[in-house]
Amino acid sequence: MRTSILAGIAAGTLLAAGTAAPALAVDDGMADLSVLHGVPDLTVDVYVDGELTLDDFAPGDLAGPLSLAPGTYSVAITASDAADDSEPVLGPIDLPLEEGMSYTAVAHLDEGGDATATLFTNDISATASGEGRLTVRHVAAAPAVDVWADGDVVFESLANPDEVMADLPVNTYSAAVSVAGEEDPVLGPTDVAIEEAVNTIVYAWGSAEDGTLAVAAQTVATHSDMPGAVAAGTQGLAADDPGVPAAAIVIAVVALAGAGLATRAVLARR
Amino acid sequence: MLSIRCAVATVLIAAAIAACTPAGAQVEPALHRSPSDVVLEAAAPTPASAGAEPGAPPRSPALGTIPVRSADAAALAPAPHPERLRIPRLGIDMTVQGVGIDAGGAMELPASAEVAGWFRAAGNPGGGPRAGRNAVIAAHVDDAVVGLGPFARLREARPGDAVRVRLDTGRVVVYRVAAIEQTDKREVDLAAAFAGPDGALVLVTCGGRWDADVRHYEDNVLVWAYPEGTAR
Repeated sequence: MRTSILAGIAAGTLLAAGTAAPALAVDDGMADLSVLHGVPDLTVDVYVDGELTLDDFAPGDLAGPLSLAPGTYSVAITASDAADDSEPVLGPIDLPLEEGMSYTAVAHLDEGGDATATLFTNDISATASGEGRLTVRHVAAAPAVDVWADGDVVFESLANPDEVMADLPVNTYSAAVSVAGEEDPVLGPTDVAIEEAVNTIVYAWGSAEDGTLAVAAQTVATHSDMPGAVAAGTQGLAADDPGVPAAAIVIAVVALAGAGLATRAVLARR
Repeated sequence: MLSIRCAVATVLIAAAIAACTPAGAQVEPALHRSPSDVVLEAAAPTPASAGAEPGAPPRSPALGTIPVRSADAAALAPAPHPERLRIPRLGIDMTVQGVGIDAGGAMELPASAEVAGWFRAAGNPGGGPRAGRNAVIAAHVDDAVVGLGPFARLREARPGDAVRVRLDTGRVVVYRVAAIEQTDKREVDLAAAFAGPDGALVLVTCGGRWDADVRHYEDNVLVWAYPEGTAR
């Protein structure tokens, strides 16, 4: 009886061995693009390859994600009353998008306060089970900052237009941003929920000098490992053909114990 | 004979565990620091085709309507999660917990057959970045404490049965059963259930013959339900 139970554990483990192919976060053969507007006080139109694509795109707005064929897209940003893209305020800029990747294009201020744009690649590699990802991006007209979580500095001296990231256990963290080396937050603290197989991307944007610093956020699904098995029963009570259900085995074990043949280990299991 | 089988079992367990440890598994949160990938200067206007790759396949933006929303800090709030599952016609009413993958690569399940597990890394009936992907809720068909669990009745589901998922915000998402499937575990297409893009809610448990030697059921029972109001 003990032999078959041990063998059963091994077989059950083998049955569950390995995970299935991961679920991909980006459609097969495509690229995902989101666009974040991080330039204060400037409502714009966005042209992609010469076509008006986003009309009256406002500061703090996030567009997308768009599922796009891989390739290089030309993006021009104009004043919101422009007739076409012949006089852009920013660009045209080329966005090279590769298959299977996730991107966020951010129009923002550089450290000195001039408008610029950055194409970030969002890390969508699979996280471990029980973990999610936090990415922090500095796209504000502000000096380098420290990023705090639950009262401790977790990322030091993050400068425009850099990013930092970490995989964290699923939980809600209290996050804040201070000027590097200082303790008083210039942003936050604010609660950031880290969810399994999700990249939560937080942006510090705006201008420190003009008092327009703000937090923006987006969430991007990562690839995720899928289970290789669902072993959802332990007793045999629901069987089509019960054979010898576990209850009968337990009874047999008790009977054997009564006969003095079962080990202490089996009794403990009972 | 007994000792040989035990030794084989031990080796197999060790091999299975070794084979199942994800290569990228991280014990400590990894800290990466990298400059942004590409910094795009606000350049003077150039011909739009300047960056096009030679030989790149023709493509059109064909963007259609683009979702635009405020990216303010409200986006930091987690999407609502399932917390209760009801199938009124079958008398099923269960607490739902979020689960992941166990060390052997199988779906984690609450120990009690009276509690269902929602697989966090697939779709979420409450929305979030995987809104519209298939969601999976599974439970043991039986356990040693309660005997048969509520999911033992899944096999009696019929097309059209209402499946009600209550979220932790109190909102209820209603699905309608479309199909009931019982498939050998060696053949069941779990990828279709867990990674499908159809917004289905797939309820999973075990059934079929009980193999007492290896203490598992030979089949998986899957109930496929779709959001109410979507034609199937």
